[in-house]
Amino acid sequence: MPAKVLALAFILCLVAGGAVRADTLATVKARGSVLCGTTGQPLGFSATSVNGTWSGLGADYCRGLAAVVLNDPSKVSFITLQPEERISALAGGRVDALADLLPWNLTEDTEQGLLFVGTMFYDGQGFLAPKSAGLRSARDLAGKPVCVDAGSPAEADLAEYFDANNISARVTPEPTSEAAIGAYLAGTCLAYSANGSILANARAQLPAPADNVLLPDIITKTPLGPVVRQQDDRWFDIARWTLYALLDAEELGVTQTNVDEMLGSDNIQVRRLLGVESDFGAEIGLNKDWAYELIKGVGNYADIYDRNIGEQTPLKLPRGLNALWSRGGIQYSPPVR
Amino acid sequence: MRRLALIIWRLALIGALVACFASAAMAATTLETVRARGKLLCGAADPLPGFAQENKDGRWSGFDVDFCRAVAAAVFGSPDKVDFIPLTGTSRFALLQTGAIDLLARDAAWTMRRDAGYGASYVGASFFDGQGFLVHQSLNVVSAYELNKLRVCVLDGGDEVLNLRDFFFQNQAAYSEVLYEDRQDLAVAYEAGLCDAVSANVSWLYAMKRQLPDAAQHLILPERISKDSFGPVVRDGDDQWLNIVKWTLFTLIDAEEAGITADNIGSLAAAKTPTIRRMLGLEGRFGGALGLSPDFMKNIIAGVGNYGEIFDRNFGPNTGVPMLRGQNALWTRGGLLFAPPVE
Repeated sequence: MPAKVLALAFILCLVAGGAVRADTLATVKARGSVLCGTTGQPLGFSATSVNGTWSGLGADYCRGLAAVVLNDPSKVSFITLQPEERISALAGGRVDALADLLPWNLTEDTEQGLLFVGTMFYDGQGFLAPKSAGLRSARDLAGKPVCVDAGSPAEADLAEYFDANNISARVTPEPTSEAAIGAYLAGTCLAYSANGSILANARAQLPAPADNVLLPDIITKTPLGPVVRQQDDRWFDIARWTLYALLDAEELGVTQTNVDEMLGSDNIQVRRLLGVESDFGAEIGLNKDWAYELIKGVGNYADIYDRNIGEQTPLKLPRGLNALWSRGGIQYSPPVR
Repeated sequence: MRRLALIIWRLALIGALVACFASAAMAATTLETVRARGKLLCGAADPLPGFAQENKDGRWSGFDVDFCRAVAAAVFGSPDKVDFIPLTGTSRFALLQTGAIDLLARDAAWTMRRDAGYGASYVGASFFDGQGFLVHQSLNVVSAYELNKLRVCVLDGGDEVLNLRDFFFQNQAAYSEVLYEDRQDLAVAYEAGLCDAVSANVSWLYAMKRQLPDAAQHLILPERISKDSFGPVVRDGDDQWLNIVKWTLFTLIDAEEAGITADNIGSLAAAKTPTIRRMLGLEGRFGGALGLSPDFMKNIIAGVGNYGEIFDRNFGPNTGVPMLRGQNALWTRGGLLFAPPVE
């Protein structure tokens, strides 16, 4: 075999070996920006642009990545994607992350070449109903029509829930969510059932949002979270600890407003988080003040929640399950230590 | 001379080529390695009563051991195809990296350093721990907030003593520290009456309580003054294996939530609930992307039971020293245990 052919084969082998192990961190640093794919739906959760400003839980998460890697939350380019192309765009390296939060389940987690970073929002199927109906719980829907998107998982889950709890409500499938909301407005059905993220958006679009309530019952679990592609452990660690640091900061009372003041804190946990004591950034290829840049740039988890979907926004979603574990919710993160 | 150089150059290239392809071929997946070996090699940190203990016949049992058995059931369909390897010292992560073990069922608490720094990843939390207090019943307290004017044994030089100072400072309560450098000393000192309480991680206090001759006379108070969680750890570089171990944990939790147990699993073939049907492999087709058979979840539950069953077997009333579920209850029952759904 001629030496040239051998040399070529060797180079090909090296390239192939290298291609398997992507180094997103190096790519992002060299480019000077994080590329985040977004479909824009649903509002408040994915990244959507209003007058050139991108907002949403996912948008702020992407800004957080830019803050920890590039020390500047504005170094993000949002790339609009169709829902069907977002996975291939991520897997193929067109984007570094998604600003969409995807539903974390066995199929999504294992069959798409993705890794879920964690849960940014615990969603689940609930009920939207008129305040005037005076419903206290889903039990009061007995004998009443409840609209749901036909053919969606929500339809089967709703029927199963009523069946399992002996509630004789009438499941009324509508061909689209627009049709379901139309039927709800027209009074054809007393309630509309879908995931909380969808219901909060539907309510915000109604003529008089405040006249409608979300019932307390949540009948399914749909954890929503950021995803990264597989086979890049470093980038996965960065993505994971960006999310965890947002939660840790809330737990420790470090906010976007007080983060500079907190640099002088006596609390060892705060000092570790902000890089005043020890260097944890080095573990993920970043500077020791990576989490300071994060909180300074986008705030802690509560700051992000309140800004995008909280009580002061049109979506008015209570923290519920998304409260910290220490305050009655289940949002929990390991410590920066 | 030029001809010789060319031959050497070619030989060198062939060597490099062989090395390159060999390294690609050596990157056999963990699943392939485990299958070829015919058993799983599962490690855990120091033996700890309830978590991992060996009987006089050399058979291991415990919460950690059951998790290893669950992974073996997922891979082989049999929970018995596993060797449990107790590990001490600081070489645990190195053993994981070199392939001497396939997973760590339990190590130290999940922290950023350990998750990101040692070429390994935690798959999730399987046990929520935290620093608590062990006291004698005769102290007549039911809450850590009642502790005042007493001697507390605590480990010196780490976060435990800082947490303790913080806790008593916040509560404006008086106490004195009895400091030791070794965990075993805490137990000895407490038993000898050199202190009135021990403050350490609850998993460790629980193990210590089980070894006391009058275990029922002692009480672990419900409060936690730190945040610690434990979970299985895998090495970096094999996301398929990460997902196998992760979904073994999630299967145990989801099975408890769905009410599937080792006992009733045989009678659920006619169940209508979609979640149950999916977990039993009756509906949908899961496991393929993990390299596992479609009934891997069924094999896990039939082999070791669900999370609640594992908890009860190792920490329940039949042990004589029951542990409260507390944070380790399901999220639907006031705890923190949550797993994404099987869909």
